[in-house]
Amino acid sequence: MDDRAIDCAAFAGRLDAFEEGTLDRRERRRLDVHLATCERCQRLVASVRGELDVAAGGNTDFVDAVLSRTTGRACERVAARLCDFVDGALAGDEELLSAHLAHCASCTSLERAVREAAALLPALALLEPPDPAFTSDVIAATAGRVARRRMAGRVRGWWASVLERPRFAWEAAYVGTLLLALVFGDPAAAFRRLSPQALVSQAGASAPFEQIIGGAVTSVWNSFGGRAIAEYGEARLSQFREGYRSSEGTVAWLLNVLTQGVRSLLNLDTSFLWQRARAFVTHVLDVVSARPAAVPAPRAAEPRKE
Amino acid sequence: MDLATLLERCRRGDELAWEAFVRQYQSRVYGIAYHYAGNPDDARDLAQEIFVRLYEKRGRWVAPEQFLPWLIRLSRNACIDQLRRRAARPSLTGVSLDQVADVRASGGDPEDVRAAGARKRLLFRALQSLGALSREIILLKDIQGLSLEEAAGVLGVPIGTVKSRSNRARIELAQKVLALDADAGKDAW
Repeated sequence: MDDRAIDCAAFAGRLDAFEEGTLDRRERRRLDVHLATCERCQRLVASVRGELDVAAGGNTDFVDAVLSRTTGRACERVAARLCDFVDGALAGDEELLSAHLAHCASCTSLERAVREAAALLPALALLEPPDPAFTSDVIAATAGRVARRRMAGRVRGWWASVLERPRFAWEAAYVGTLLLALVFGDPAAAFRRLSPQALVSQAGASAPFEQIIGGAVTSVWNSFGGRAIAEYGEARLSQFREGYRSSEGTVAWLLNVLTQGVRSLLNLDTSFLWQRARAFVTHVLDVVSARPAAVPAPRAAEPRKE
Repeated sequence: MDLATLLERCRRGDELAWEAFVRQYQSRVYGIAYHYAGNPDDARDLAQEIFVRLYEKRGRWVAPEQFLPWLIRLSRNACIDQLRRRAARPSLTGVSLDQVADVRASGGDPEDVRAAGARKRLLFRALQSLGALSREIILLKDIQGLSLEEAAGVLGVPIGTVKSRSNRARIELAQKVLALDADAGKDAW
């Protein structure tokens, strides 16, 4: 063995032999030299000889020194188990945690904080609303909903009773017709201007199939008054634009629309409608049976009934 | 009146029972709303919204023994819905201690009550500085007193997650409290 100085680790490794006196003279001298100059190893020897009460924590620096050179402090392991320790749910190791806490100031503070939080947190479940009117406001908010709910219930009940009446379908059809007439004006005007066969003939014998279909669709749409609807809508829209400029004009416009709607209803000629319906069915049959190579010649428009 | 009777009468539309129910649960509902809203005004609106939802769903109220977890779940969902509408998850860092609502003070020496109130406000502030999941776990388990299973059900996460995160959240909370104490420059212990 050489005569170089040894370090603390080497000293600790030979401590048993040093204390038992089994080291050779040269080796013992090296350890004596180190011990004379190393306060830490002096404390280590003193503790081995029972001159220091390490277990009672009389030398924290020493424990820290040993731990720093071995496993390190166990604070992280303590933190991981601290909640169970505080809750009394730790299975074993209570004694070891208690021993650590007895000598570790930071973990002791943490333990106290955990205990305080556990005691105070349940009190945070109940917070008083700052406004004493809170309760009455909640009651008022839900009471409003009760009133609205009751009104909605009455409306639903009335509607259900209406729906169950046998005459409801006739009444609904009547009201629907009235509304349509009011909205779209004079429906007979559309029929007066129609010439569906002429439209079909415009498709021509050599017209492609799509044109024939398109012409048929246009013809059917016009048979239902589509052109008249468009013209009527345009006229009403321009009237609306003009009438909307003043409230007086708006009222006059509304009265005009209502008057024309009622007049259209009063002038509705059922025989004329039947006549146009027969013409429409005939026209549809013609369109369905028509072929590109043999489109029937345009027939004279039916006499208009003015 | 026991809870089962109260709930049943509320379910039948008894307005007197409903008023008693509101008075009985307003502190708890407001407490939950405050933890999510972070200020008294929003908490008040949220709490009112929660009660309106409760009223609308009174036909589907659960059995008395399951009512508290159900109430907490409904309250949490209502709070999150409202906060999502405001395009913000609960982010309450920086809440002034002055803004924190008064907690219910227990009787006793006024000086002790005042000191306990200060500690609770400090704890509340530390709680608001935690992450969202840690804060919710503490809110549900340690504040509202739900079991691990109930808290996991409300949060929609496995029980193991709640268990492992719960201890970490408590330690984190304790560390935040110690840090706030250190910032305040006083030894709270």
